[in-house]
Amino acid sequence: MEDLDPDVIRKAQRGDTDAFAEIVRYYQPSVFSTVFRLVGGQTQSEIEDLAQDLFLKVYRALPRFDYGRGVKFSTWLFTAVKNVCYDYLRKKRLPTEPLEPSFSGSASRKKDKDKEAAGPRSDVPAEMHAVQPGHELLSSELGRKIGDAVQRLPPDQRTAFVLREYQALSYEEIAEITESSIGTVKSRLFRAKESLRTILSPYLAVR
Amino acid sequence: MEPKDPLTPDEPCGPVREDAFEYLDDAEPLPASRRLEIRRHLDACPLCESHFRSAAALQAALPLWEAPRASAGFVERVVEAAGRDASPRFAGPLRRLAARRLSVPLPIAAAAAVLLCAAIAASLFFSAGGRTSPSHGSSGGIPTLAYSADVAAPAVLTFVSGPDPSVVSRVLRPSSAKR
Repeated sequence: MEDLDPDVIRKAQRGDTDAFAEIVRYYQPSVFSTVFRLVGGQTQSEIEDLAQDLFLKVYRALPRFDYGRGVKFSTWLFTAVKNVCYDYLRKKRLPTEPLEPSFSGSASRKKDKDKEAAGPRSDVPAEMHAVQPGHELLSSELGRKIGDAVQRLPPDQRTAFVLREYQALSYEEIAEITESSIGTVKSRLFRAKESLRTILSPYLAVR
Repeated sequence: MEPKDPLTPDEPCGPVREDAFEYLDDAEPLPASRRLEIRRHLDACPLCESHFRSAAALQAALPLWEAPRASAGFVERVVEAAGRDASPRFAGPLRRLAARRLSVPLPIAAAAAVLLCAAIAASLFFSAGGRTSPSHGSSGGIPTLAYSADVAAPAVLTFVSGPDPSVVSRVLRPSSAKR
């Protein structure tokens, strides 16, 4: 991910309101989508509250960011994203159950109940969970299936997967954000994708 | 020597399947030699070829999971909330100047407070005579001051005049009445 001009960051560190607004405007889409994909299953307003809380934390911590340490600003920012999301998941005690062979299992039904308790989401066809393997899904339905499957990944696999596939971060950047080695990042990515492949293969158009 | 069956994979399936997703990753592609090895294995292993196709289908479907966008005004709300924050960084120039002038490291402030208290105590101490024991009379005709050793109670002293020993210094103590 290409970083914002360092001069803008430095201006914001000196208290320039316009510079801070530019930081928020530039990174908001990536931060918002990453928060959505990491914590999943929450309402729009909850995701926005979390994203706003994150940016306020970034604002307070801006003086501590130092280009001299050789860290990209986006890497520093996404480390904050990861930490905020992990804290949120711990507080909410949201489940990170291992992927089931089938979505018709009891764990899947429990998760559906959890999602209902969490509040309304954007429109979800009520019969989606009843789609049988082998039947072609609409793109939006398959997308929702992918999202549901990703939420069942353990947090470390989910983080590596989301940062790699949806933010196009390098192995090195992900390793720095997750404080792990590149080998560990690759291992987590493989396990995440292998789990997703296993669960979603009945719905994928294999050619 | 029998010719090698071209349909027999040269390497186990595990490492090939592990590298399948990296094979599909355009961002950081595998070295060409490794890609060739994988391709040869896939050509010889129907199970791995099926696994690879499934992995490719997953990779192609990932963009379908879309994320919502923040509502209108999100940036403005964040900046406004940051402006209400306690930090003076985004305050007006006078407030920033005041914050800078009042910004003193805590150890220095603590040391200054201690010194100030010591100075006040010392001024009270020396204004009370500066001696630790009562004395009477004079030394060589020189009037001396006498005071009470009880420094907890400030005392008003009367002057002990001259060499006349009959004149005794009196220390007037404040009454126990409230100040």
